[in-house]
Amino acid sequence: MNDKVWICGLGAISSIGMNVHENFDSLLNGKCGDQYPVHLKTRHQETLRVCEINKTNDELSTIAEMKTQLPRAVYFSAIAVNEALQQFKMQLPEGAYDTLKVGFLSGNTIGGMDLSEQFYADFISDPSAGRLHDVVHHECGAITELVAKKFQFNDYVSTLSTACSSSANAIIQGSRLLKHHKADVIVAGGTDALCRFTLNGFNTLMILDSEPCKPFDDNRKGLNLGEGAGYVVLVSDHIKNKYNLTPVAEVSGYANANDAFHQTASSAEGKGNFMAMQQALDMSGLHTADISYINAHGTGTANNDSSEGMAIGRLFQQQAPLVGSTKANTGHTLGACGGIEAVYCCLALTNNVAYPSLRITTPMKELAFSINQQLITDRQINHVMSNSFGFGGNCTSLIFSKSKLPS
Amino acid sequence: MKKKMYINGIGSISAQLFDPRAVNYELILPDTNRLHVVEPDYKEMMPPMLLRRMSKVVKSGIAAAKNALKDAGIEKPDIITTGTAYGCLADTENFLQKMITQEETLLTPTAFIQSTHNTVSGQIALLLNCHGHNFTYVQRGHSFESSLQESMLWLTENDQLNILSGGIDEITQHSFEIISRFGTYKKEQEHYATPSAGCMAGEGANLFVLNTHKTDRTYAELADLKMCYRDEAADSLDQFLAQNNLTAEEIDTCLVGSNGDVRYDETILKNIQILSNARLIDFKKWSGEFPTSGAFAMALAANLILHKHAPKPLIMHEKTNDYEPRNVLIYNHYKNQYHSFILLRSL
Repeated sequence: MNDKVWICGLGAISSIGMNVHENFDSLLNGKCGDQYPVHLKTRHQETLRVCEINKTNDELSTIAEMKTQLPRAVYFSAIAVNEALQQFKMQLPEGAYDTLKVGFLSGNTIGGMDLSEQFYADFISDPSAGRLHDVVHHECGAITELVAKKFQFNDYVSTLSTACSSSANAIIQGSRLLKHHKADVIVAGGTDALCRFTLNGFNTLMILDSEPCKPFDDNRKGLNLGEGAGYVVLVSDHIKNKYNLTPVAEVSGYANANDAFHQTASSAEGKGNFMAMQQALDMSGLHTADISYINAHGTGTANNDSSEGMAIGRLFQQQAPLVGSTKANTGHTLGACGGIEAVYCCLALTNNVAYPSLRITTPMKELAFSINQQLITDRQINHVMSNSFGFGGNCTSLIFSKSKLPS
Repeated sequence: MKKKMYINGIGSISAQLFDPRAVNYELILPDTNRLHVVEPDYKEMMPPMLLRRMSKVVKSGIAAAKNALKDAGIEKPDIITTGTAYGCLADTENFLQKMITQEETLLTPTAFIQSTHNTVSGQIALLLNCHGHNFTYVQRGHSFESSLQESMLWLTENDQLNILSGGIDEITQHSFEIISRFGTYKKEQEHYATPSAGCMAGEGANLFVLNTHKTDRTYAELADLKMCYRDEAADSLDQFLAQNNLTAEEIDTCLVGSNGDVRYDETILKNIQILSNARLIDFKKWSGEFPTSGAFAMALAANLILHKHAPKPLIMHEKTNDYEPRNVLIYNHYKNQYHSFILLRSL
């Protein structure tokens, strides 16, 4: 149970890139995916901005090499999983992959809701109406099932749905399974697509910014919803050594804690956030001073950024590292954000960069530390913390470390 | 060495008036194709203000949690991990329907807030002020089993933990209508024994307190769990028994997930035909079919082990109930795709 867990493959798709390379390039160039929805048909077409992936479902199905008319989240998932797996397989000798026991843990929050919405519109006026094909993949688990079938993942296939921490929690559970030697490899992360259900849901909570969001700004108005998927290929110590793999990073710490304060709001002091970060640090054996960069949850809502900021300030005291949020680039991708941001964190480690937090004009006054607004390239980034916090008080913190620390 | 794990408390909200701790209970054979849970009086369990806003799945989940903790004699768990295939359907439908009929205007957040799949786990944590690890699995017919698997990993890592784990699912009018259109359920006038395609719709909230220490509240040992997806379940059973050093003959009781659907039952029973000495208990007769029904089976199995006795009406075929359940296997399936084996042993 003290075995290390390694990351040997990355895959990401978001509004700022169709693959890992494009995402990284966009982060370096401060690009954001924000626009009025094109593919999502909603009453809020010209009032609410989203970070949408600029492809139709049919285009996505072609890229994913899957049949048409599946939920959008399936395509994102398959595209990112494929990219991550390719990177991993490249490092293996011929035929080795087929001998491995590969599991799949995916987070998502809305399943096939984008299609269920269409079904339901017909169904509520006539219980015998609505295309059953549009509702057959409604369940969150159905998204995972479709992708598992495509890639022939047979062992340890499951879905986590803990709101916005879903995919970060999938990485936790994947790591735990490897530490217990239940599998050789676990592909872990998550996926979510934009739909009217979540757009309207977040709108009723009055936490959507009608302009491009500005996490950690004093005048932040809320979040922008996004969509996408992000996965990492988690590899056991045994397999890493057996095939002499060169990992992208190590999963050095993780923890999930509950704020137990309110169904949707965070406690003012960020109790759950603090506990998750502290316990993840404890597990990694690192000190606060060792963390080079925090990829914050940083949604842009008044409540999240304040609670998270308080918790980071309290934990890191005078030694806060570079802190920023990439949600100003990608929007809040809900069940996918932990996976996407895990990929971003690994790229920060391998390239020694920390991404700029965009659009801050008046930094939050109550923070005990400053938010990084520059692209940082002048120092070693050795350990990165990634936070994901969700409804139900669900708080997750992950720590990724360089696979080989500079001596 | 493999650590032993025990079921120390159970809360079961099912279609039956079934108290897992009780010696005597009567299971009623339903004469319908749709079984709803018998809801307890929630007023003593949670604040009335909260109660008004909660849907059935949240209320029954919290009630099962409270009952399980009380049954185990503990105040709050260290870890909460649950499974639900459908999540909070009533709240989801409520918000969806209003969103469509009101054309995305004048919506209120309550139903949306409570539609999140981890609402039950989150609300339990909130009510108990429980800051521990809190996961929710949503893998169709493996949702409950995924949460159980996670619990077992935790207990292997740390023997000081009390874990609250289990499965929760609800049926609503709309989910029943939609799933019926897929041909999953029997027709209205049919019931379990009707030899037809389809099963009885069911729902339930069954939660367990798990620990590595035996207490005076302990029901049974949770010995092992295996999930298989579309695999040859029969082959998996051989492996499962072997890894537990058991022969097929040593399984004295098998709670089997046959559900009255003539399309699957024969296959399902065939998958366990090597269990020549086992009394078979087709538990879905009493609970109905739902993706987390394995949790109801585990509650029933624990009861049999605790009282060293299987009531005669539970047992299929003509086998005697004059024996003491020691090695109890739960073999469940969901749509003949998601298969699982859970082994409970007497102390």
